[in-house]
Amino acid sequence: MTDLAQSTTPSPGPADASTGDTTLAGMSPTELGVARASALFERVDPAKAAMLLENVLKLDPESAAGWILMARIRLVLDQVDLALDAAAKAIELTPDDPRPLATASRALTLKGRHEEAVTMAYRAVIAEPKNPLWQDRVAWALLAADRQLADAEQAARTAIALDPNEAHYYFTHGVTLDALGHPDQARQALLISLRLEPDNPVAQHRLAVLNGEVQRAAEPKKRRWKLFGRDRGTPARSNRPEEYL
Amino acid sequence: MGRSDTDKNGGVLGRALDPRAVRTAVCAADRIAAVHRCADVLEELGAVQPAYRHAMLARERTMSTYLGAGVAVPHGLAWARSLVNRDAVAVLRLPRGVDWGCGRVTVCVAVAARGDGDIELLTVLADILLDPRRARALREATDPATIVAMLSRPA
Repeated sequence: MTDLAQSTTPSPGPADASTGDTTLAGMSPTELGVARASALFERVDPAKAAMLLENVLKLDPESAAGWILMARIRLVLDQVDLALDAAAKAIELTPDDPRPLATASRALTLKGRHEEAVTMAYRAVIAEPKNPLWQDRVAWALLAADRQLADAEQAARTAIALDPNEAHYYFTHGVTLDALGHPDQARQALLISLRLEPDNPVAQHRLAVLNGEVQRAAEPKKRRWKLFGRDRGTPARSNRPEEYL
Repeated sequence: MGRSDTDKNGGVLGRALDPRAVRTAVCAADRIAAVHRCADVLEELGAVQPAYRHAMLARERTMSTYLGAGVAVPHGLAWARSLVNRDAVAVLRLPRGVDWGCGRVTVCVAVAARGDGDIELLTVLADILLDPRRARALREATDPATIVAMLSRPA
């Protein structure tokens, strides 16, 4: 699956982030610290990145770039509440930046706070309508909420239109079409996704389910259709967890 | 963003939005006062019980209901659904604008929903706000009937 991580900092450049080299002339201590944490994060050491970033943010709590990165790292570490806190701080510092809005949306989805997740996702889209990442987030937020599935499908389609070479957006589109009850179209979307990214096990599994080769996991009973008013007892967490893999 | 399920069904917002719930010239000193004005209208309509106001304020403190393009969507927290007598939407124009922390708000679309109607509202509003022409029309509309029609009609 494509890494949907958003760039939050400039590339750390040639300095060795783990050795403490300070060859990046012209960067403030905060920028340097954030760049090092970013490098650690990209080297798949999120725990170490979080530790480093904690110290940086203690010294400079006004660093929006630091909080944006911290929110992403906390999500990767499955520390959803801390991710949400970090995203909230970033939003406070840069309310027009769509990146922390999307991260907050994702954290809120994981917490089962779907309405807030959808709000944040739409805020990201409104802040930057031409970025397919945010359209994709809208699709997943709505899928997780199990509401407005036609809008989720439309958002996924918009993401594809904005970046037709990205396998993940076809995957999302396939999931939305499946949720809408269009298995043939869903299959087509998943096949395109797999053509672009043949080894994606999640898409392979989805396709196998659609083809009847694998049994579909039991999902909670579907809500009955009711405009403005929904039955209670809805599961707090999404039953379509692929986005979190 | 495309037409939502609700649009195809004729506009759920339109059914929940009464022209009496559209106020085109409201004054509020700040975000909290604006939420109070929204709660006032929902109460006047008989859509919510008085305690719903606190749920709206709590929601705003938990996480801003700012949506973007000068529009906020004040509503209560999930626990307050029992305080909603009937689904309703109120639209308050704030011509002088209110600092919402993350942007200046000139239109509040307040929601009282017993279910997940707020998500339906969000999709319809996002559809409007992503179209600069329609977003401006919503912000500048001074006739309640125009606002009701905008929120009721498919794109």
